[in-house]
Formats: sequence, C-alpha cells, structure tokens
Amino acid sequence: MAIRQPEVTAKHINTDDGDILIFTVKNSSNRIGICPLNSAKDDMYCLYAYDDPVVVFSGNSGNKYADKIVCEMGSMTQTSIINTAVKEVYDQLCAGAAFEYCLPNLLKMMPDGLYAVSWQKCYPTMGENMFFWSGYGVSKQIKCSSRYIKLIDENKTYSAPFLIPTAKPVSFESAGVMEASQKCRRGDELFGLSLHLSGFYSVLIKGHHAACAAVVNDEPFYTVQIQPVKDIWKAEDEEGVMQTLGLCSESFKIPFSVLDASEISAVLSTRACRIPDTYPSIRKKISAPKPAKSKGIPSQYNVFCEGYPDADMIASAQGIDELTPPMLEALLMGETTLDDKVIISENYYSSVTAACNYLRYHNTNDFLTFSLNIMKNPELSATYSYVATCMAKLHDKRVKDFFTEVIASGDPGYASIISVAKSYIDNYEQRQEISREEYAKSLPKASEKFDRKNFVSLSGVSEQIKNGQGAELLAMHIGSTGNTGEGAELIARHISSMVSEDTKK
Amino acid sequence: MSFYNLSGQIMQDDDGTSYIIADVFSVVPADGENPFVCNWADVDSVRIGDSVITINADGNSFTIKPELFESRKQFLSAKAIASSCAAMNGVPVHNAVELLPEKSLYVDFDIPDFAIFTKGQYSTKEIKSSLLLLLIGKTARILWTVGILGGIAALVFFHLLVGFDELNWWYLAIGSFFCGVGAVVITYLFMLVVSRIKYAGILKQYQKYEDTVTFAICEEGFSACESEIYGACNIIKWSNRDTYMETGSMFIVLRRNKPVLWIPKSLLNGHQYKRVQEIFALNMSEK
Repeated sequence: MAIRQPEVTAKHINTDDGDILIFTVKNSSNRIGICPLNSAKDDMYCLYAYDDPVVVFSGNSGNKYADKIVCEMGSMTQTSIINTAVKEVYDQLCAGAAFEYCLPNLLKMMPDGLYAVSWQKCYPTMGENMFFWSGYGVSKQIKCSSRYIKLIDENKTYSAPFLIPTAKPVSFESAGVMEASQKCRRGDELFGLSLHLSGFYSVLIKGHHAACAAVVNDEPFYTVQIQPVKDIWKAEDEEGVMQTLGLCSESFKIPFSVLDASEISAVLSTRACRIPDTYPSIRKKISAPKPAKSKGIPSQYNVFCEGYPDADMIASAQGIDELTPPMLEALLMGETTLDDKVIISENYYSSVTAACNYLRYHNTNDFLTFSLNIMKNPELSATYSYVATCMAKLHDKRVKDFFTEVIASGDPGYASIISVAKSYIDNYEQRQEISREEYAKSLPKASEKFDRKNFVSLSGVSEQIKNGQGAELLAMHIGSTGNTGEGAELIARHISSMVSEDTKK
Repeated sequence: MSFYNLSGQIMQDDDGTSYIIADVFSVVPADGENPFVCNWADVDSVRIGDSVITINADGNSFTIKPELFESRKQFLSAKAIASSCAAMNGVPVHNAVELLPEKSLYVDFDIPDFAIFTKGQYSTKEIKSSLLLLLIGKTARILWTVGILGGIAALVFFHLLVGFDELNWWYLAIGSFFCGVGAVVITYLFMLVVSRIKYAGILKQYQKYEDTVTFAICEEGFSACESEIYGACNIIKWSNRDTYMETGSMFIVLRRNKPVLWIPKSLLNGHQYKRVQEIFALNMSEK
C-alpha cells in the first residue's frame, strides 16, 4: 500500500478582514491533535503531542457559552520528534524566516484541515492577573474559553490573547529568561509559538522563557498563532435564507470562494477530534499519579502580571463597539437604552459590569470616575459589590479615599462592600512595589555561547535566482540554518559548481 | 458521537463532485463553487444499504453509489460515521438487515485491556443453523399450545366417535397423545417452510457475510465490528432489555427480542468461553 505523504500548502488570501495567511494540511501524521477521553465522567478532551497528554479540558457540555475547565498534564515538546520540529521552526522564526517557509514542518504533524496563521499580541496570563505559567497543573475554569462569548456578537470575530502553558515549571530557569530576552525575538519583538485552543486561549508551544522575559522587561509579547479554521460560517442573505458562506474560527472568516475544490474537500472531511494510534499510551499517562510539585515559578511574575487586562476586560473591549459619554450618563441614570437603542444589554447589571470592564481596559481614570458615580447613587446598589471588586484591583489614592469614607460613614447601603473596603485599606500601605529592573538585575546573565545568525530566506528571492545568484543564496541559506563547518562549505561548493556547469552548457 | 478512530471520507464521482461524510455532510462540486454543507442535525434521514448510502437533506436526496467507494474500508468508515453522527442528532437511520450491531448503537467508551477480545469470520453453517433455531425458538410456545390443543381435540373426537369406557380409555388416550405430537410435527414442518420462505432474504444476506469481525466483550458492554474499522474506543453498553441464548455454535444477545450480537463459540478458547458466560449471566437473563 502506498504511504501517503503529508502535504502542506500555504497561500495568502484577501478577505474583508485583510490579508490572511492560510495553510491547508492533507494526509497529516496526526502527531499533535485533540482526542476525546472516552471513559471520563464528563465530556473531556485531551490535546496530545505524540503519546503525551499535554492539556486536558472539558467540552462544551451542551452549552456553547460554557467556560472550559483545563488542566495541564504534560509537555508539548517531551517527544523528541516533536521537540526537534518545534525547535527547528522556532529557530527559523527567530532568524526571520517567512511563515510559509518554516511552519509546514510543524503543521504536517497537526490534523488535516485549514489553519490561519497570524502575528498575535498576547498577554502572558490565563485571563486573570496571574502569570500564565504559575498555575500549571492545577485544574481550573478559565473565563471566556468557550467558542462563543456572551458579550461578543456570534457573527463577529475576535482575537485570542491569553495563553496556556505546555512546559512543566521544572523547566523554568532564571538564566533562561535573560537568554530568551536576547535570543527569542523576531525583529525586535519577544515572541512564542502558539496553537489556538478555544475562545480567548491558545496553548504556548514554544517561548515560555520569552514570555517570562516580556514580563520582566515590561515588553509586549507576541505569538505566531496557528488557528484551526473548522467551523461552518453561515449567515442569512438578503431574503432571510441561511446560506453557507465558508469556514470560520474565533478570529477568521474564510469564504469558500478563495479556496479550490480540493482544499474545501480537505477541510470539510476533517473531524473535530481523532483518536490517534498512540491513544492507549496517552490514557495510561493521564491515569498515572502525578509527581509532587518540585519547583514553581517565582512569585514576582504574578506581581508583574497584575497590570495586564483580564478576560472580562478583553471581552468588553472586543464586544462593545463604543461607549460614548451620553451612553455612560444613561447608565448612571439606571437606563439600559439610549434613543431607543440598547446600549450594551437589556440587563442593567450586565450593562454596568461590561461598562466597567470596557472602561478599565481603555482608560483607568474614566473607569474610576464612572465607578465613583455609581457608588454615589443608592438606586444602583445592586452593582456595588461588583464595581467595588473592580475598583479594589487598582492601587489608587482615590479608591483608598473612597473606601475610607465608606468605612467611616457606616452607611447601611454600603454593607455589601464593607469587607472589600476594609481589606483594601489594610493592604494599601503594606503593598510593596517590586522593581522589574532590580529583579532583572538579579537574574543570572545569559551564556556567551549564543550567536544569532541572520537567516537567509529563500522565499521571495526569485529575482536574485533569475540573476544567477541562486547558488550563492543557497549556500548562505545552508550556512544560516546552522550547518556550519566543512560539511556546509562542501555542499555550497558542490551546488555552486553544478550551477556554473549548467550555465556553461 | 462515536467512531473517532475514523477519519472523514471523501467519495468522488465521475464529474468530480465530492461527497464528504465527516462531522458535517457536504457535497462539493468539481469547481468548488457553492458547496452544499449540512450539519447532521439538519439531515432528514439516512438510508444505508449493502454498499450504498443515501442521505436526504434540505429537500435533496444524495445517493453515494457503490462504485464511488474506493474500498470496502471506505464504505464501512462512511457508514459508521454517518450512522453515529445521525443517531447522535436524532436523525432516523434505515439500515439494511445485517449481522453486526447497528453502528448507531455505539457510544464512546474505552474498552478495558482486560476485556475479552477475539477476531474471525462467521461460518455460513453456524449462522444458518443458529438463525433457524432462533426463529423456531421464538415459536416454541405456539408449538406447545398446538400440541395440547391437538391432543384435547383428538380426545373429544374419540369420545364422540367411539365413546370412552373401562376397556378402551387407555389406548384412546395414547392415540390422542400421538395426535397431539402429530399436530406439533405438522405445524413445525409448516412453520419451517414458511420461515425459510419468509427469511430467505435474511439468510442469503447473512450467508454472504465475508468481513472479518473483531469482538470485544466486557462488563460495561460489547463491540462486534468489522476489523477494518474497529476501534477500542467504541462500545455498545448493556441494556436492561437484553437477554441472551446459547445455541450449539453461537452466543446470541437479543435486545427487545431482536438479535444484536452473534458470537461464534468457535472463536473463543476455554477461558474466554467461561468469561463470556459469566459476563452474560451478570448482565442479562438467559432466554
């Protein structure tokens, strides 16, 4: 029987959302994917890498808005074949290689289907103000991890900025942070490689130390995000008839018109999950008792992450188109509509919480002004508890003054927020700022061995090849991929001589 | 849904139209324009024949003919996915009569390593004899009734014709008994002929069964599936409506008096045979 070779093709498509790079994978080896865990009590699934369980998570349990419960189980790069491929791809990306050139090596191990790849700004948290790597291995429900998010219209696409770790904390090394700070950059940006899982969340395949470096240096962190596009995109036409327009995912909509028949067939024949041939081994590893935690991530990272937006803020920021001063005024008056249009939601409590999160994301001052105004209106007391909790996340003198006033007033209307206020006042003075610079200085220096190479990509150099510089480019390319020494030189000479002979002929 | 061990199937006809059976059912024209994509929940019905699948959806009827399947494995895979996806979404599935349990009965479950596994083909003779026994077995009560009624009728007839007295009662009684036996024999032969005529199609169907089957039996349920598409993650759970019977050559599990599982005893070794008996006795009553 003929062995079917994995086939990965890349192309850029133009959609209403701009240029999208998509990859079609056929005949894949299915080494990385999602499989159901059949004997589990609830509907549980597992992201696996060869025969290692990486992340176990719950399904949607019949509710498309249900948040997922996830638990990290293992490491994505534990198996050598996957580790080698991931490392190679990441090194090439670090060296500036085009996505089309390096990602197929990784994608051929993923299930057949359509994948959109993007350069995505991420926050190294799991949707809360805690470093994403800190809670590794603890089963937890993560906010806004469902396919559809209540605040965001179902027809709207949204970005997935949060990360789930796939490396065991035991692999954390302080020295690795400074090394990653120099090494793990694409252009000037610190970056990782991620695979989208669901909702706002992607699993970080590679770049955990780069994420640490981004947190320590207070720099933005990006990932090359691979997002499977497997949902059917349907919409009503002008006559109100439901039409199938293409395929979609959380962040992308791909119309059928940009795909050819074989690509459409390849995508439609994929299954949501597959049971790999390594399934018995995966099951055994999941059932095996977990070793006791040996090493954690330093607590400073959690403190540094307090300033990142949380999942509620991102949901509000992406789901609410605008929140103008008249709209805020109306909300403060206890209204949910303005000029007969629903501002956010018909439910007043949801409207206020969403508005708070929207303002927290966009402007802290506006948020404080809005929150303090809410707190002054006894008719809006139902929202006090939530608003006070949001306010308590800020270290601000105005908040402290307000909470002091609340405690001193003894107003029974504030009974629901007294405990939040007391706790805030108690912790306000004790709070110690941890300096990022000092922490960075305390980290061991990166080893001197590292010598970054400038990668010579062969994509987009057709003109130079036409001009007879192909052999030279190829030789440079071989050198840039790490093949140094006599071997690379010999290959380069050989190619060069072959090309010159061809030219003579 | 079950059969996650199988990948989606693409069947292409001569004009390049692709029929795709996976998590959705779709028909993609050769030029790729306006593909028909339908969630299984929106499918009206699925009809599965010996080697043909017909799917009715959105007012259209799509027939995937036998020649479109590249191999027997592709047909079996498409059939398994279509059956399980349709059943999961409450879509009616009409199956041709078959020896193996319907694929729509399977659910996701990891069959434990200590389950009883065996593999082999059905023997035509075993199937035929077991099936006839099953058909006749169903009519045992009728035969008893016919026998008793025949005997009583003979008694009444002899009494009216000859009259019982002290001298002849015992040989008239023996005569009545044999009349009852005769009635049973005639009825049995009559029913055998009727059964053979009535179930000729099924018998023919069963006799031509050539696929190698993998069996798995455990405390939670069973699986009897073509080896080409077998996965240790699909199982049919025991139901409280299950009963079983043991013939000379087969174990037969019945659900609502219809056979769902036939296990040839010839495929079981001594230990497996005992374990199967134990598991059956634990989960079902014997018929």
